Amino acid sequence: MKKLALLTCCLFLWQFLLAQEIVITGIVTAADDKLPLPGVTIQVKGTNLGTLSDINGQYSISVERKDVLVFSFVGIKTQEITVTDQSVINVVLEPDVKMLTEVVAIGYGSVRKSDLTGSVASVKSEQLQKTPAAGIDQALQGRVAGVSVNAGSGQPGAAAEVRIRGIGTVNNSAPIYVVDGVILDNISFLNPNDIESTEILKDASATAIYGSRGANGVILISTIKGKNDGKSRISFNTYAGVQNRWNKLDLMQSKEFAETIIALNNVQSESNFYNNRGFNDWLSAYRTGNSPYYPVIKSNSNPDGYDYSAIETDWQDEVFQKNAFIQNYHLAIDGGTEKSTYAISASFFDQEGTIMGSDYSRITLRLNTTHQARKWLTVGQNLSLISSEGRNAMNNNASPGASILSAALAMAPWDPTHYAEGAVNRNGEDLSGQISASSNFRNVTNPFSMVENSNPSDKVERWIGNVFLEIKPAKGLTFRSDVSLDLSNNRNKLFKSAYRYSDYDKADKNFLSSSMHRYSTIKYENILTYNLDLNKHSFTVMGGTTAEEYNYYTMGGSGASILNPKETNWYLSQTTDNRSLSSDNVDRTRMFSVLGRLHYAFGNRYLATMTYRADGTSKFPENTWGYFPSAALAWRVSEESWMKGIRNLDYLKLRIGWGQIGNEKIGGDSFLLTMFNTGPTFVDYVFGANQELANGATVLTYINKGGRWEVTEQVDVGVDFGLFNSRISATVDVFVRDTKEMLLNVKAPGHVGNRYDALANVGTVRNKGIEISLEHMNTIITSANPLKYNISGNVSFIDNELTALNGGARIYGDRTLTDKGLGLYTFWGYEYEGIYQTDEEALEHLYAHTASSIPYKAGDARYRDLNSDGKIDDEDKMDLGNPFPWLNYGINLGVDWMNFDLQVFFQGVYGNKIYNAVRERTEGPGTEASLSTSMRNVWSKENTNGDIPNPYKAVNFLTSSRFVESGAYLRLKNIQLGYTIPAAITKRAEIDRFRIYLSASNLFTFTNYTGYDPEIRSGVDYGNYPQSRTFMVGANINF
Amino acid sequence: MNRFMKKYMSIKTWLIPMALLLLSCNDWLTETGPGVTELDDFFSSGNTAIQSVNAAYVPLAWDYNSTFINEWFIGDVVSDDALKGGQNINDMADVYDMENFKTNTNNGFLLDFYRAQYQGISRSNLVLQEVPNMQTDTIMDADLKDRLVGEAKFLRALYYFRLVRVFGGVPKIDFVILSGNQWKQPRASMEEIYQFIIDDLLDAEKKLWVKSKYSSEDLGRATKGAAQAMLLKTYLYTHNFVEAEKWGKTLVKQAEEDGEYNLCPNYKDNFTLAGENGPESIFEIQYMADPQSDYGEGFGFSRGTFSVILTRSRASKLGGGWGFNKPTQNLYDSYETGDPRRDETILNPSDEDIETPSQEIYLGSRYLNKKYGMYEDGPGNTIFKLDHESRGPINTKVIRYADALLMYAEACAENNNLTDAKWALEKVRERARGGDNSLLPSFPNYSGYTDSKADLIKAIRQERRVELAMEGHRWFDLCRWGIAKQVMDAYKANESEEAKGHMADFISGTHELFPIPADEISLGSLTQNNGY
Repeated sequence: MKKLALLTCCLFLWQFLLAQEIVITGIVTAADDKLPLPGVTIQVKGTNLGTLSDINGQYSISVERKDVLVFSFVGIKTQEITVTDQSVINVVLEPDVKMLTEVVAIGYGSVRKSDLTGSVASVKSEQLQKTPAAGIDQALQGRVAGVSVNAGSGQPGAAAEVRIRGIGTVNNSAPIYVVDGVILDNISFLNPNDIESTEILKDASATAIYGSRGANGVILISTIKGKNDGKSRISFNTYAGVQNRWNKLDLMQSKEFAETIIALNNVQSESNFYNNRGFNDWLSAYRTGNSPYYPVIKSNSNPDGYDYSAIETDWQDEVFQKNAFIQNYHLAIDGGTEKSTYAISASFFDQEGTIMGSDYSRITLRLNTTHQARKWLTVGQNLSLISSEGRNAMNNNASPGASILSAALAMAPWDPTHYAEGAVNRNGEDLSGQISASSNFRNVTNPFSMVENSNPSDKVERWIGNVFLEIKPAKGLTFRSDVSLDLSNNRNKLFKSAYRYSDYDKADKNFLSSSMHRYSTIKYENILTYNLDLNKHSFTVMGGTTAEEYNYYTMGGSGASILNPKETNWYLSQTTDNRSLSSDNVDRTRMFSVLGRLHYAFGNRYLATMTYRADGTSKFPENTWGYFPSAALAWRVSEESWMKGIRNLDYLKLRIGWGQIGNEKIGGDSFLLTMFNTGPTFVDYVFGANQELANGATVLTYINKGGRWEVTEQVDVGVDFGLFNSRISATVDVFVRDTKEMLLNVKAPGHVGNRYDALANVGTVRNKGIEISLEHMNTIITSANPLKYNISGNVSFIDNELTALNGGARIYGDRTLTDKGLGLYTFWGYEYEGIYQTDEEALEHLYAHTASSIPYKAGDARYRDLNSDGKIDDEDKMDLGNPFPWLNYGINLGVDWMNFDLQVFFQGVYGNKIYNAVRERTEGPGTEASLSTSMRNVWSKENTNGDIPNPYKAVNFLTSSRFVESGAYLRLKNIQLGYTIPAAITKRAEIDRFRIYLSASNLFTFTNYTGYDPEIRSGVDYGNYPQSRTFMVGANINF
Repeated sequence: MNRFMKKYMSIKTWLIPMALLLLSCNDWLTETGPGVTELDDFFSSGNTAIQSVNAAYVPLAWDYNSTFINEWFIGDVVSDDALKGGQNINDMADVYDMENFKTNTNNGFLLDFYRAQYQGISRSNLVLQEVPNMQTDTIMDADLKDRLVGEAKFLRALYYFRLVRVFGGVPKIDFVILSGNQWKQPRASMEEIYQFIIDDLLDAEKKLWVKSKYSSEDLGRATKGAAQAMLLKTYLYTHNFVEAEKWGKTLVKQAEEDGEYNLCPNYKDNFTLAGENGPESIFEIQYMADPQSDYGEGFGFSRGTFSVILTRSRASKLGGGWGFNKPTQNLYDSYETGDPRRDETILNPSDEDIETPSQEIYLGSRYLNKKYGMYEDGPGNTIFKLDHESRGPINTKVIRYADALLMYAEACAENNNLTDAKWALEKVRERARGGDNSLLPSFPNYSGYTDSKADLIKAIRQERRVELAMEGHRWFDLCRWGIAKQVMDAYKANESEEAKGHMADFISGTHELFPIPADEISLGSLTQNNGY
């Protein structure tokens, strides 16, 4: 034992003797131009010790022998040199060829990034993982120039609205997602942790290979695959946090609200009554009356009655939940041998809503493998299983009380959420603890009744996968055959209890509706690719076919009166009344495509890509086939010999592309003239002494048989360049995107007798824009610990205009008009000029009326008489802006210092408008909603400085600029501070990397919008589910 | 490897299968999908002919689209008989504008009403295009085929009638508009539309069956009598009293001699669930109790009517409805002393039955329309409990025999046939008396009438008002009599200050019609009515 101790001692001593400090100096130069490289990080491996080379490429560092120096620099291959006994180490660093050979997916193949001819943006998966979002659609917000994301709803699990290069059509303008080759129209199922790379194909030359589905852009996603390096990696990622609302409307409290609506109603007897008898008596006489749904109110004759005057309910506080929980766990293992690779993951995501009665949870399992069965044959598969479940709080509906939030606004502040103990109605019935009836606006459901008496459940089970084989029969030749299946079973169930809180808020029988929806798309794809390099000429030819069939089947029913309505009995078989079990529905579409691409490069400088796709689809009976060509050229200017001498220019590429692509996203049978005979809706009629339904059949809509896909033609000119050893890199694109033959929901005159609008290929839309992405990376020498940072920003300007209707009718939307010369969905109404101070002023302005017929009086809204004809009519309506921002931007700042990393991410939009229908309601007469405190300043003869017109007059609520607000905002979307525990510590636990972080989302929002949140999907805010502010802690652990 | 290539990679081996693939895939792509019935394949059996006619009835029953569009919102509310009601003046603001002669061209009620009628017309046109060319079969013999065509013609006439008296002349569409090139159609004149209605009705009258010929499952379909009553009515609207009297006589003969129609012994039986499609019924819009009916989001998905919930008292004690279509004091006072019809028409709630006066007394009127409230249709004459939250089963009466008798009386009186006019008038009054001969004396022994044509016409008009009150006729009668201005001005002068404050002046030559909806003006390049 002693010997051992001594030996150990000696060894330490030896070590100590060896470990003397020496100073190493040297010059770092670049291999290509032999010039000194400043700013190269020189670090002692495994420690925090380090320095940077100076402007002359020189450095000096104190080290111990046998230390390893790591030379690293952006765009340069990292080099490691072990210190022996020399004191001068000059280093020649090679450019990082890996960066140049970085391969990006382009659809049915991949290409070296440097050989790209189209506009393709890549997003790093670690950036996508910073935002606590269920899906990557939301995480893409602000990350890519030209990609606009509107979260739309704060409802957990809700898909975001993603638009690439503007909104090209009034029809479905959403991009398609291609996950490992499977084409999908939403990706809310995908856990961002599973994503390896995301590419966004923006211009027509890039998306044309997707033919009739490429018009709105394509988002290509590859999930994590194993590597054939003989290692296996285990990673565990998790975060958990709390979400809160960040904004609240300023509404009147009970007493002020009552007095305000009495004053607005302006009936002398009522205000006298209120003043003389007080709040409780007024409420009793003018609101609750003798209705049995309200407790007997405290009064002189009923001293034990319910004291409404003591109640002050903040309905916003009641329906918004505090500290709603969000959590995510992701465990993955991947690896492989020379012949086989695998990647397996499992994840669980769970999010509570900030509004009560909404939540979402999801389990995702994923398995990707490949196996090289023969030298020339590889087989593999990608498979995801997803199970998600959610509960919807309903969202942004025009009807007051159709969502929890709008119902909360319709409840009066004097209404309790539930009646207190001892509440008794006039019939002596005990109301203690019962959900209250709305006493001001009676036609509304108490939000607690919505949550407690309604049990919706939406479950989705989805299988997405493909099995492929790849044959390489000869050099350069690859044949890939791929069968994929996207199968989704959705189960929607809703149970409503029987209850009665008022004549409106009631259900006489309990009720169950239950339905299953099955969606499946099966696709069979065969692709042949051939690479040929002949001296300076390089060809890649790809050709193939795909065939797919989509099937939808749904079945459902409903029934009432479950005798023992406990949850285990919520099945249709238990219903005893009103059973309707017969509804089923089916839909099918098929597509067959032939596609090809030729990529040609000459001398690495001149690049050309041509693609062609023919799509045959069952959707267009008279136009089965569509043809979609594209071509693009690129010139890598920096590869020209005469450019070699230019210092600090790393690369420069010019691109130009053109293509025609299609949008076939319309319902499967929109162009079939069909008899509708599946009533009872619309066609069955009641006959007979016993009053029974007789089956009916008719044509609901005379459709346009000759309809076809919309065509989008796009020209894109772009430049990519890098400066100062890639410290600065940038991409600038200019594009013009013309949608032709847009399918407009052409409204026929009423006398055509159409139930729905017919579709015709008539409209044209132009989107033009500029996109700029800039990135700057650098390292600053301050001390021994270098500070690395990067700043990246992207900005895009979009101009959108409907250029022609070509005989199609204008589209009137919800307060919007889509018409020639306007942006799509432009708010259309009057310009609000203030308030008429006198009747005479109104008559003078609207001289076409007489004193007895004029609909405007003192205190009414003064709208601009645009054509000065003395009356306000349709001719005076004007463009009040539209809901789409013309400017989208994102700014990301990243800093690494020692073991800390910090990321700050801002995102914003500008130029969009929101119609604030919540404000419209809260600045109304108070009959349907609580009033905003801004109603203190309503105009009256006594308060002529008031800025709100008479809320009792319908003409004051015509669509006007009064309620159109700017939707511009700048958001600190995410700020994240991470700390990586030093490897020296974590190694003991066999952990390669252990990072913990704190993160906050939507910490600040700068906006002038006065509603809850400026992210509104349709542009009209009826009480949209707002985005929440989230604080999280998280960890990334790699073994 | 090489052998593999030689065998499989030659062009020839691939060409043939590729060509076959492309050929077959065209068939694969164009194959008719599951669950799709194309128009060309549909009209192949008698059953489908019946179905297409059934569907043509459906738009009659639509009383909701994006707003409630019951015809009585015009017939009663705009007239001196009723006020709009509801929770407050903003409730159904479109109707508020209409009743106070402040209608804008973008009135949503009028747009929905207009479009619903044309959907009925296009459904009728589809029947009239397809069914006459069909072969008869075991289900549809020639007689039935005739009847089906007759039903479609009757319905087309009825839809046009509903349009023309609200909007005046409208586009005359007597074919199926298949192509966008045919979308632009001009407004026909009011006279052309009335003539078109008459032509359809004359043909329908020949083809339709008498009421008794229908089996009990087919109760509710258009009948010969219904076509005759509509002819009588349409001729009155066009002031062709000779033809009106002729068709009135035909109908009366059918009733009195063939026993097809008769007045119900009790006036109130016309307004009960049990009395639906009774002896007095000539045409009704059929509704049923169905808890599965949606609220209205299905856009016209009607099996029950909204009339019940719309007109019922807002007090939960009286069924907790929405309190629309509130009779005026003017109507209440217009009944003769002791007329039992008053209390079968107007419900005057006791103070105890009013729960929230501010919402249940609308501009001074506390009265309720009793005819569609189903106040006594529940067990033991209690308030009928709706099994759907907002839809009820009561049918809408379009024409009943008492209405036809009074129209006949009017036509006779105008033609100086005072004897038949008095007979018809007396027949209605006699039933109203309910056996109490101390009430409602025969013409001319009341209200200071003399035995003259002018007073007889006055008496018939007054009888129409009280007999048919709150059934949606009054406004249209006032307009066709040409006395709307006079009556409405007099009514306004005597209304409460509160109600008066909301009313604009009636302008003759404008307010007899409502504006063509602005959307239709712009979509169809139509001309607008005078004054809008």
